[in-house]
Amino acid sequence: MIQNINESTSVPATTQHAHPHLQLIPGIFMLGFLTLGAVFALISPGLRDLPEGKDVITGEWAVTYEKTFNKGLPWRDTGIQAWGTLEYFAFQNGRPGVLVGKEGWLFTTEEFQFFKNEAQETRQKLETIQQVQQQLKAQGTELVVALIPAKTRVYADKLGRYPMPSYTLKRYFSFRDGLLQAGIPAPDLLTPLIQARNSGEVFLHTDTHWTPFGASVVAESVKTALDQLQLNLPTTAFETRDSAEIQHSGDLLKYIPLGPYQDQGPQPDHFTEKVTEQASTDSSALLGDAPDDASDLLGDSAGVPVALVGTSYSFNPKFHFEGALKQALQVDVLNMALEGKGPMVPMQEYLKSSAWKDTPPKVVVWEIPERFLPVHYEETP
Amino acid sequence: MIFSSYIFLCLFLPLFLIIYYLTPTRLKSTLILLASYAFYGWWRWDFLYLLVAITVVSYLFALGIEKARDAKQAKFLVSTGIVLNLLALGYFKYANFGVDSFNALLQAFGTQPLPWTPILLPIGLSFFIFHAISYLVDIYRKEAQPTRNLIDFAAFIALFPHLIAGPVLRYHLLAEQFRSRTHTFEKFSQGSLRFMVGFCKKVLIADSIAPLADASFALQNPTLLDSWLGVLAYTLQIYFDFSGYSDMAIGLALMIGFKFPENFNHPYISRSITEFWRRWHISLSSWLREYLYISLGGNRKGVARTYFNLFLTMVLGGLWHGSNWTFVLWGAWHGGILALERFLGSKKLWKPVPAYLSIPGTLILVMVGWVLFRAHNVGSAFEMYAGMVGLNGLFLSDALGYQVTGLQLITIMLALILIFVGPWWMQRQQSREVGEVMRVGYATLSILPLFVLAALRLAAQDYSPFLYFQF
Repeated sequence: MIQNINESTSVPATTQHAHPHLQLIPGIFMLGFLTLGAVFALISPGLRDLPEGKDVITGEWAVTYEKTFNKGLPWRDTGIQAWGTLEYFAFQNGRPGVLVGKEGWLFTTEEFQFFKNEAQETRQKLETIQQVQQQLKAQGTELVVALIPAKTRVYADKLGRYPMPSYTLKRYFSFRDGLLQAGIPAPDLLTPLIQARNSGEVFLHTDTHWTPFGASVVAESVKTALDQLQLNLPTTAFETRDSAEIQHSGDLLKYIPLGPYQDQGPQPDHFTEKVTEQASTDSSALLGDAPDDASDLLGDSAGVPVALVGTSYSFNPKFHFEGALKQALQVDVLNMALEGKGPMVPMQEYLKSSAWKDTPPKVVVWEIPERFLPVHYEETP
Repeated sequence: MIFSSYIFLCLFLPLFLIIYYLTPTRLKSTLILLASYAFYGWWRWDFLYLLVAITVVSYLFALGIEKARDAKQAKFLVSTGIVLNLLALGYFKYANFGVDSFNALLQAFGTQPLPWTPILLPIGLSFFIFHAISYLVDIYRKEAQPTRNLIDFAAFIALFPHLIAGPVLRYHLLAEQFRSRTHTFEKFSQGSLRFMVGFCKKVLIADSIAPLADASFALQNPTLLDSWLGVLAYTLQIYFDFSGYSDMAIGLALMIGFKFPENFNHPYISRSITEFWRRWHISLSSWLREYLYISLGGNRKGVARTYFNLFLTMVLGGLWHGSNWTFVLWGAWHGGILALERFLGSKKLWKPVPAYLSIPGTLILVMVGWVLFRAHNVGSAFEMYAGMVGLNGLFLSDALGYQVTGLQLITIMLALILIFVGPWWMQRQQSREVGEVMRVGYATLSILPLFVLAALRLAAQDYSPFLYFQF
């Protein structure tokens, strides 16, 4: 079956060669490489960054130290950029996590991912939303879900070589149908966003998030949904004005590290930031719509009629969803969104907060991006 | 610690080499031992006791075997030594598997499963247990003299180039080298070149293809193209990963004067499974032959027993790779084909088939085996097989399509070229002396810039463990 291994198959100590001097080059090169590597490692900041509170015996300390050590190496960025450049210009690929579409449009792979337990996960989310609705209703609070369609769905024509996966085609519609059947108001946001593309971009090229314009389109649709509920919310006059023109390197641009060639890759987005403030000519008090607690004017959250719960789409002021809602509704909004937690955790946190317990609002707007529907999130204790 | 990491390349290796070459000869083994323990302890210090215990127990038993009054006592001692080693392997590697299988059985009969806290598998355990067993058996068979020098023996077991993932070495091959070996710059240079080749294989090829294999094997209902692409990716990944590791081990050993035997010999150009096992993980197949197949009676106990021994050796060899039914079936697959080839005469069986058919034919048999080797469980493997015969459609699925990158496809093509052109190239490069050594010509020096690229690549990729560490 198997041959004996003997010394004859070992590497001989010395050999005869056509170019004996060449035999020494790899050794010299390796010595140079190891010396340079060691010198650079010894002067890198990560070398002396010793972890605290980590167990040495179980290897936890070593893992932490190694991560820090690697991050501090001076050629780290060169390596990342060299390979990033090669992959982008040779194959139009970024680091794992981004897909390069047409005309500088970038998309997250999260919107393409297949989830084995999607049916079960979305069913659970729907049940959770129903439970939340009942919990809110018990305090006289309405729930409106702002189900944000995936960027791939709104800009399917910019996907280029990546067709929208078949298993995601119905995701938005079926989940929204589920919400409506459960009696949870959830306005159609896909149609207005697609229609609004004629007037401006509703998502950012290099980011997973929407533009302030996209956020304002959604805010208008949420207003329509709230109008149908006839909640008679106390109004506050808000004005929105343009602020600075900013350059925004989106979260997806990090996946395309081109170093000195960055200007030949996808370019950062430019947009005008919006600022929404209470109007100086606010006459709501004269009209009898002033909130019971005038401390609102001082920024206190008590008695704010609308609570906004959601993800980074709502949390990040750059995208201006909170302001867009205030502008569309002309009602004050308490923003309870959290970043990087998915859509479910912020709601759990909100329902534990004093803002909810002490002064329940008239309505909660729950912003839920479609791409988070099949993702499982651990419940917070 | 792994070879393809900055902590090894920039701190451990330079520091070790400086101290090693400054250390007097008589203390070199002590230094190797301490450095190897540090190398292992970097993963977990608390499992070092196991390595030390196995070393000390094997060392003492070997001395006992030598001093045994008679053959009976020697046999008792070697059996006890082997059993102790196998008990350690069984506890750390197979207890979880045994309990899980038993619990599955209990649940099938509607009984409550037993409560069980999973045991952590010490890294490299399978390899250093095999080293210890080979030492005991060699002493028992009088093929080697037991060493009086515990430090040399401990350094042999712990020698960091082969500690984590082999090659599986026999003590008598290295014993002489521990006593005396040469250190020349040409040897160091050869070792450096070999290390660089292995490093490039691992980082540039195996790690580039790995995500595609992972994505394909994660699919629920892979199509024909999904599954074959995934299996091809894994076939290349495991070869370049593991042979790359072996190259690095051989290279590192050479850098400090040791000569390790070759572990791979272009396995994917084999024309039969029998030939494949002469070319794939040679040190393991030699070990299995020497210590398991022969111990079971080899071909000395009749025809039927020979086939059974062959089959059982491969099944147990499969199980050695991991505690999962998938590895048992993988071993059975190879054992069955080996037995069949032996029965029909592998050369006679495949002789009528020209090389352009027998090479890909053998490769396909190997790939079918790799599905079992890679799948998380038997069910997943059969999902893959369903895909391979086209039961889930033919073309690339949406779930995989977006994950396939140009770099992966180009790397696969280059890897295939290397697999089929490599043997011819090596033959051309072979020196006039016996043995395979990479003769350095101008073309060979292209490995130097590739090594720099690979070193930069480490920064650009996430930590990627060697596949063979889990075995």
